[in-house]
Amino acid sequence: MDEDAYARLTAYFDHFKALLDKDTQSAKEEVMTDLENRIAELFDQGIGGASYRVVNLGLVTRVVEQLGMPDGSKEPETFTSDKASEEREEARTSDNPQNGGPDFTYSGGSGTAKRRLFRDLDNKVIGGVCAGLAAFLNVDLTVVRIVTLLTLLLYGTGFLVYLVLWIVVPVAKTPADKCMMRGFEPTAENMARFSGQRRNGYGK
Amino acid sequence: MENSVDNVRSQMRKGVLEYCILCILNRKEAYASSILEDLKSANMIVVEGTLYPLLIRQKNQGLLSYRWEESTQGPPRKYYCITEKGRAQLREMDLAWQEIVETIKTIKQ
Repeated sequence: MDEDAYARLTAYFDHFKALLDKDTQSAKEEVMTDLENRIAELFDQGIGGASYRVVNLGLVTRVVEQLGMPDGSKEPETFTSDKASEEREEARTSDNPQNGGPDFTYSGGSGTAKRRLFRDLDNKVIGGVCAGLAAFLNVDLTVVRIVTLLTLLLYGTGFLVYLVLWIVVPVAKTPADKCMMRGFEPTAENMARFSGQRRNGYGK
Repeated sequence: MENSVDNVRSQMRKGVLEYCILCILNRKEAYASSILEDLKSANMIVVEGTLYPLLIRQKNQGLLSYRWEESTQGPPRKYYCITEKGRAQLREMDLAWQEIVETIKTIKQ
């Protein structure tokens, strides 16, 4: 996620929250959670279609315009470049020292939770068996593919094994599946990261 | 003048929005963006930001309930449906709406 995009989104959340003062605290939190989930969904759709995998200011602006304010009014224009850079500074120090903001781009699997074997159709060539195995074993996808091809050439048993796995192993359909496949706890945040996005570049 | 017309219009919309939501959910279960689409196709201009606080408020009043459903793309979605209490309120709103329409009709004659 880009820095200016993050600052823009933070400002939007503040404005939105300020207009919810009629509600109780728990109701307010519920609304914000719903809103965040919806934004995650919209980001996902926005990213999925494009070649870039970063949430940039343009995408945030589009999403924020689509969602609007709780009372249908225009968002107050307090988002100045001063505030943006200030928040940017904050983001750099607090969230992620390397990137200066929460990183929504996906970079390989490195989860620590227990992994489950699925077929990964986002990175498939035939049935997604190799991609699923690579995620399960936390090995580079290319290595798995080469080994698979070798067993195919040397003994021919690779073909049978692949066929069996293709039939037996389930597809990672839901975001929760995709989390478990890569060893991440299926929390809302993690699910938002893996949900339905084409990862064509991954592992090649 | 233009401004006050717009103002009245948006007040009216706000007034019937909860009624509209109950009507939609009385027909079927739906999640927020599909409710929004239904409203838009009926020329009811709202933004999603308006909808979320309203849905939560109606849920806390016991008029609606919801369940989570996993989606193949994106995070799980909240599907809302109407409760018995919501239906009862809808019937009363139907009556109230009829009254308003009748009132305007009578006055205009």
